[in-house]
Amino acid sequence: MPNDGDGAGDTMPARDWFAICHSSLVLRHSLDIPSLGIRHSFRTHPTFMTTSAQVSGFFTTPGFAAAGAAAVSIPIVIHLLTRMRRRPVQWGAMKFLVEAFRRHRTRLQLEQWILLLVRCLVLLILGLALAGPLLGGCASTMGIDATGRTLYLVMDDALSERAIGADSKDRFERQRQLAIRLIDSLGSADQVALFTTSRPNEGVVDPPTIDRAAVRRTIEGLEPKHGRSDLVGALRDVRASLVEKGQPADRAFVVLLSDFSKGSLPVDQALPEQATKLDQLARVLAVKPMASLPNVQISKFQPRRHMILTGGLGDGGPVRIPIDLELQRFADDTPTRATSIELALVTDDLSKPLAVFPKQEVRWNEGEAKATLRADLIVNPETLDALNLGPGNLSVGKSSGATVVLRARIEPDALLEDNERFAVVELRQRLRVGIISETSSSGCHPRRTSARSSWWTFTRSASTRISLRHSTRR
Amino acid sequence: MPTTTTNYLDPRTLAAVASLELRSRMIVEGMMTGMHRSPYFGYSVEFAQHRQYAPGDDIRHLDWKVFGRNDKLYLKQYQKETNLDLVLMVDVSGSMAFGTDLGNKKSQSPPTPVGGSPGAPGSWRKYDWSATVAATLAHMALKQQDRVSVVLFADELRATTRSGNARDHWRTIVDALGSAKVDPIENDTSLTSASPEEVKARATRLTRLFDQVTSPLRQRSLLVLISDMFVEPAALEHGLARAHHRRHDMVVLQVLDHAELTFPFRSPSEFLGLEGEGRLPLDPPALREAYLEAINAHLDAVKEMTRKFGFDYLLVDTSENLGPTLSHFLARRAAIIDKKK
Repeated sequence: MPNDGDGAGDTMPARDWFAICHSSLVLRHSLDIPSLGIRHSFRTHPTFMTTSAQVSGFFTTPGFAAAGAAAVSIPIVIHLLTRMRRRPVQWGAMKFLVEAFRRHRTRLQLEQWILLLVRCLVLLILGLALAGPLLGGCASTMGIDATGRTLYLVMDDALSERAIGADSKDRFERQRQLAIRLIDSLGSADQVALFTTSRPNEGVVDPPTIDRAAVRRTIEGLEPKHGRSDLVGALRDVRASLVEKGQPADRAFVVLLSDFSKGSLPVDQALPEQATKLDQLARVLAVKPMASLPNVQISKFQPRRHMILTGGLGDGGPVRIPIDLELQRFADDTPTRATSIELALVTDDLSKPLAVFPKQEVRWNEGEAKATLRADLIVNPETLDALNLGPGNLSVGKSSGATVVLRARIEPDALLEDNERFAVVELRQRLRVGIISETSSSGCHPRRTSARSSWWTFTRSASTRISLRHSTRR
Repeated sequence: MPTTTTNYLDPRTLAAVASLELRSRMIVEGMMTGMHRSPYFGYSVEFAQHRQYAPGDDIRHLDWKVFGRNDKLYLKQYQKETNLDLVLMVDVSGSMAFGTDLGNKKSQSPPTPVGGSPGAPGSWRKYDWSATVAATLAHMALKQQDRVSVVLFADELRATTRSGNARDHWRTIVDALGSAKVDPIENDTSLTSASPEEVKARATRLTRLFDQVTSPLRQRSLLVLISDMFVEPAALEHGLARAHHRRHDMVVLQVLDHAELTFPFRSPSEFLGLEGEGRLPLDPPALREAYLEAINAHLDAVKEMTRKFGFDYLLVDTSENLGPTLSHFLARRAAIIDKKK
């Protein structure tokens, strides 16, 4: 196999690795997950051996189950002791007692046995209940379906999984349904582990458990994150779990659930050897990669200068905010020709726009994946007045600066989360700058021989002897 | 508790008194004091006829009213004072050894059953109750110059006393009652049941017993049968029929312990029959209802049987006060006899 780790093959591109998975392992299955037939496949290798580990896997606290089983002997011992240590009573009206006994002998004996049975069952059930039974494992105890396979689900819950398809459902929902279908198709003794690719991991079920209902609930509660996938980290965790469990490779299945669309996983990077050798520990399956949805992402949006001086000396002109914006386009075969960008100045709480700038448009060439926009946003005096940054607000005691939020937004597409981006810029009326030099006309300068600390002390002191010149720079 | 005469009739008090003679005297005195009248049996002094006076006759019996009308001396003659023989038939079978330990008055728990331990302090067996009642009735009858005899029986006749009305005859009766052996027949084996032949033989023995008791009686007598009546109703019927055929009057006192009437046991026990029935390990609460059903059916059968022959019947719980129970019964009987006259 190409990924056996010899020589230069220590690492290999993830794209190739996926190809290996598809070709050498379960290509047929991975291409059509709805008809995966995992359950049928599992049933072709039945085993009815139940190990103690399997039994202990049926309970969250197996000790209570053992205690309950042991406690069954208590009523039996009490029963035997009671029979041995009955109080002797000399009885005169024995004739009637015997008559009643003979008439109800069968019922009395039956009641005795039922009572003993009920007492034993009460203790047993109490013990089992306290042990927290995982009911799915009961069937395997009785040898009904003791296959004992382990399914490792690796779910991609990165940002790309939030992409909404034509059926108005996000991609993660599809992965979720697939995962649940896989779990529901498992045998009663099969175990499930769950890993997610985003970091930090949440809702991961490891080590594998037979409590499929709990895993199902965990999956139902999962939501895709806003970050990137860390497939390597997830596979490393899966490998560690596989090694710890030590199950034969034909009994362990790793199923990767991801859309594998462009941008979802770092498929262009090399995977470490540990990840590429995963198929030596388990059979690895992957869902068929989904077609990339037409999506444009604002990958970068920032002002070229983070502080803008509005000029407080009374010229009253507009203020320019230079910005850089970068767009990234996925699914290059899609017919997206141009992207319209809406830029606005919004309040700190992002609730309402203070100023809306003219729309910008980026036109895409064929095969182009990235586009850059450089523009100057013009803030008119009315907006500055609204921010108390106009010429009339140049008085002592009033605010001389404000932090405003710039918003860039494009039209809704498959992934809504990357259609809007914000940047912060500080607007100030003026900036007071003190220039200290050795040849200052005021003659106030530290001696040449002074240490660096003297410079710091000098600049921090509010000396009235320093004469400052006001200047405005735009 | 205030010390009154009737308090002496409490079974707990009587159980503490070892002497049967003393027990009986206490009962008689208690009843006399409590009722203010003598508890006659209904065969009190009755006028028979007039006879002409002859020298030497006791002038106390002269009928002065006749003398006033006719100027002739006539004596009033009365029916013989002792006109009825009293035969006390006391059961001394093994089941009569069953009783209750009444020694612990403070205990709230049911009385502890005892069996086969005669004379144990505080124990109050059915036979103790029966002997005390027999001695009491004998005492009262002898005070009226009635002839009294005692018959002790189990499956067969065990002992008898002669019939007499002498003053010291009561001591004879008390000695006979006191020296009777009430030995339970213990059988350590598992439960045994009586065969039909055995049941038939018991009936035959009981009929023969009644024949043995009634055949020596020359005149109409009052038979008082004091027993727990743990016999087949059919056998009892044969015996009662014999007594009825010979025109004897009969009183049946069925003596049962309170535990036998209520079956108060709760903890698992092993019951040992006192008449050789064997052992029966049992969880009493499970069988209580069936037992009570069986014994109540038997009590109804015995009661029906005695009423069928016109005899008096009294079911006695040995835990109840003996005096009031007995005096109430005798008063009721006296009233019935008066009504018949």
